[in-house]
Amino acid sequence: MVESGSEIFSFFDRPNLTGVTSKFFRFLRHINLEKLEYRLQGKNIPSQILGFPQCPPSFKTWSVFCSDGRYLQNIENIQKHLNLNRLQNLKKFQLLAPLSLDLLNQVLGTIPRPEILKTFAFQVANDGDMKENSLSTAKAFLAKYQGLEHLAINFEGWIDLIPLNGWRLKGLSVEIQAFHKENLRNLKEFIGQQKGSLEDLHLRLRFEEQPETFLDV
Amino acid sequence: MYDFLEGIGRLKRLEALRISFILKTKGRDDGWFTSHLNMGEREINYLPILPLLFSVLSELKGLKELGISYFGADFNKDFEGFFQGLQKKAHTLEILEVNFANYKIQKRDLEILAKTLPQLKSLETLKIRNFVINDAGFFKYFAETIHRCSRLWCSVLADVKVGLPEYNPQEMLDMLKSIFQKRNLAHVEFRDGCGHFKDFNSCERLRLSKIYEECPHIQNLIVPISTYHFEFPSSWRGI
Repeated sequence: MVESGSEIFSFFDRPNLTGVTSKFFRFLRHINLEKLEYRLQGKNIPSQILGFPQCPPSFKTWSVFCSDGRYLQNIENIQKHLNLNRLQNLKKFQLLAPLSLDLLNQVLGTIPRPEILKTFAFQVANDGDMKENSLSTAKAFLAKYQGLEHLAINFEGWIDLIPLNGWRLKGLSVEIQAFHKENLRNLKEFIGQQKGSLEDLHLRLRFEEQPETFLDV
Repeated sequence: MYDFLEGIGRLKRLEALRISFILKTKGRDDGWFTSHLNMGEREINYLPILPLLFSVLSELKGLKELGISYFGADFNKDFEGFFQGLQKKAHTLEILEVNFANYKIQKRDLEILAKTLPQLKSLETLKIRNFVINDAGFFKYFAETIHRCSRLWCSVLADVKVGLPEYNPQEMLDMLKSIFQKRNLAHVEFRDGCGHFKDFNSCERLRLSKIYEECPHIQNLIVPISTYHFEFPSSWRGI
């Protein structure tokens, strides 16, 4: 969905954007769009969508959701086409596709004013190397978002992104694909840090052990 | 786990809480698959945290939105306590979503629903899923209950199974018709276990188009339902 003021344009999110022509995208560049929201059902994010931030910097919202990101095929397309550096007014950035932390960091590095971002949703794939370096990288880029109010994270496995001291989140959504009982304490601490501000909490945790094993944590 | 939930109870500004605990279990053939809907009861060891959740919820004075879904939820023991606990939220709760973890809803449970749901004066959205209808009066009783929820505009039933040896689908149609006639209910969904949902056209196949004509306020309708014992006529397939 693409919005400009009261005008709303919708199109079907077919994998190859059949029927949505380049002309259509050129047309969209001529109006003051503030919001792009694209829900992917196929396996490829079209380069038109990824390249769309090159339009005038009126965007306040940039969102791409992949319904089943596990099968996303053209992740390299993101690296090649997605560049947010013209979006001076970006307040909301959501990209739910299974990126490696390095690629995510690269994409986020193009956001020109991270300090004004209010809403941030992202997904990190388990690339088997979520070690100290990656963790430092993650902490470093998250530290830039001082004004963040809503955070949605989707990880294959929990990574200790804490401490995020200084944040006063109003909304927190955590989805973990492989959550272990050891992570409960960490998550509790994370949530506890936001107890003065948190208004919306969404937890979706997938465990690999039987329920009773969590009771003694 | 207790500490964790108690920590949530200290979030005094919380207006929306959604908790989904899903169990990953080993598949028959290969790899892991996730299951939180249709897992056999034998595979689940109940997680006795529902009473604690009631306690946590009572601490959250401003809660407007609640969604609970977790494997091992024991509504056999705690159905009544859960809904009685919700009465404390009678004037704030606007959205309620509950996954009943394959619980068989009995007549006494229907009476509890009939008593408690209308008391949630702010309730606008009700989504209940993954339960078994085990009482022949469910459809009629539920429709009557829905009618008494004064502010409700969205009702969703998902992953519903009918566990009755003799089941007449006309009862379901009557319930739908009765629910649709509630003037402010604009959004009704019934989803099957696979999460499939359909649009207005599918409902015509359910011979419900006449109801739509009578109820122009309906914006959306999704209707599949599955049963243990009843085979829908072939013309209903693919609903």
